[in-house]
Amino acid sequence: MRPTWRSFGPALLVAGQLLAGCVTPATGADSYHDKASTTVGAAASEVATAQLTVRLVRRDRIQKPYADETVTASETALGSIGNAFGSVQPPTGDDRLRDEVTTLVSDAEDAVAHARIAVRRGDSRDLADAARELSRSAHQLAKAQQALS
Amino acid sequence: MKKVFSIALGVLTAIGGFVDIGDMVTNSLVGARFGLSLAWVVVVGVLGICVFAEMSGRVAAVSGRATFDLVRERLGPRVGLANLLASMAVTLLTFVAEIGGVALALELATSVNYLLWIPLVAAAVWLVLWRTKFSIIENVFGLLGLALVVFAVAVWQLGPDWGMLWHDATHPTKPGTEGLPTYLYYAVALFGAAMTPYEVFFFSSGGVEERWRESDLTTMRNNVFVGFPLGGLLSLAIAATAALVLLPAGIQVDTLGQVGLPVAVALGKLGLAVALLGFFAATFGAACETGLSVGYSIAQYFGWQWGKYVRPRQAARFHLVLLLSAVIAAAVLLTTIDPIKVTEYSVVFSAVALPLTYFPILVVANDPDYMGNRVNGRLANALGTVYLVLILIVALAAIPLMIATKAGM
Repeated sequence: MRPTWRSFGPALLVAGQLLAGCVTPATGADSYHDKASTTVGAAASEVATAQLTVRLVRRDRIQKPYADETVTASETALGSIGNAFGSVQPPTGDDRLRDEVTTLVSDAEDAVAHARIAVRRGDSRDLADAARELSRSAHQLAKAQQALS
Repeated sequence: MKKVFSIALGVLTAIGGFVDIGDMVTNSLVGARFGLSLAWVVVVGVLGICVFAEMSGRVAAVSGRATFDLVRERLGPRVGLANLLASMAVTLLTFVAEIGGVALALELATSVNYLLWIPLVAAAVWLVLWRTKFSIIENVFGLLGLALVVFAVAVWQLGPDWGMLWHDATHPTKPGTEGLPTYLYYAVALFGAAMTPYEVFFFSSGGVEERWRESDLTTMRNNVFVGFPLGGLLSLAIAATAALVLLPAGIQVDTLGQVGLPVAVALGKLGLAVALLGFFAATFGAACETGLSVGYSIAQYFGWQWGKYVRPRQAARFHLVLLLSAVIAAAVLLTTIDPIKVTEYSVVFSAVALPLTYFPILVVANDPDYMGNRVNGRLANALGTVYLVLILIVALAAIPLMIATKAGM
């Protein structure tokens, strides 16, 4: 039988997922822990970006549209990070880890969303509150990262 | 005096035009993750592009024809077609990334979503390619691209421990937290970003557009051997700012906005405004260069009239390719694919296509029928051969490394 493009379909799909680094099912506890660690690391990076941006806004060292877009991009990224991890099937016994990580990422997304609102408003009190919330989130993510490594 | 001005202008535009979206994103990403431990790859890549750009510029000046105009004639239609398909696919991908980069720069400046900018940017690029003189495209965007020097100023302003920076750059070691495949994957990406195939397409065809003669060889060599390395220093400055600000903060670069943050830390609003101008000029200039390169490669392969030195009516098919490329780029980006991801893939796929781009240059530059007594000397051939072997290794390793590391994750 002559191969058609259809016969390459599944192989191309797997290759595409591998190349794009898309979420694949966790094949075991180790793999799930690795995914959890990567998720927490990526979330920490987005929170750190928002922290730096808010600091620059408070010191009047960054244009408002630039700050807005940077924080908005971090918020969007956190949404994708949370969705990607949430859609992975956890191995039996790892439900608690799943809950912890999704809660951390969700809290981080909230903190960055508040930062985005504060940046757009430009109100100094809102910015100070946002900075504190981001700091808390960053601290929790750092602790989780340490525990997972 | 006119000669000095011409050389200075050529060098400055070569510096400003060297950095594109691939260089900006990859260098910042690598700096934020590996510090300056991969700086050696930029040095190796810049030397490589200098070696092959000099050859292709010499071919253009001596034969009056672009290198890839000669590939089909010299190596036959099959090799020519393989060369065309591989390098054009990568150049088109790079063109998509550059247009996305312009739109992202405009989004950062205006807060208007980049997707709304895409059709306007694609139309503006096409309009510039259709209506504007080649020398204006090259000089204006090359000079405006010098705004990226602000990254070098930012490094100085951040007051780093210069001894430590030098030590990191000259003693390349893999950070303990990273695996060797990931380190090598990013080395491949940096190499691909520095040696992007379109640069030689553009350089060689540009030489024909500007009607270089043998008397222009000195100017051409100054552009290559002074301008390109200084452009490479700009790439290193971008990596250094990321290493100094983003790495300690634990920030992984996945947006263009993050690339500029260290400049804001060092120089505030004014510095960031200059960086934004640099982002815009570098990406818009590179969009013009890659768009033209797509047109050059197709028209040269099929033997159509090409170039901006003739009226659009005389090179209608060449201009049709430019128009279609702009439409395709806009259509791809409007699928909401992330332009930064396109950029990351384009630099790695560039590495895969490198042998098909650079091997023919080495062959043509050694052919006395085209080059007369200006064929490659021993040094050019030795360097060319060493780089060809290196390029082959990099091309073979790129896809396996991409799969093994899940694209550097």
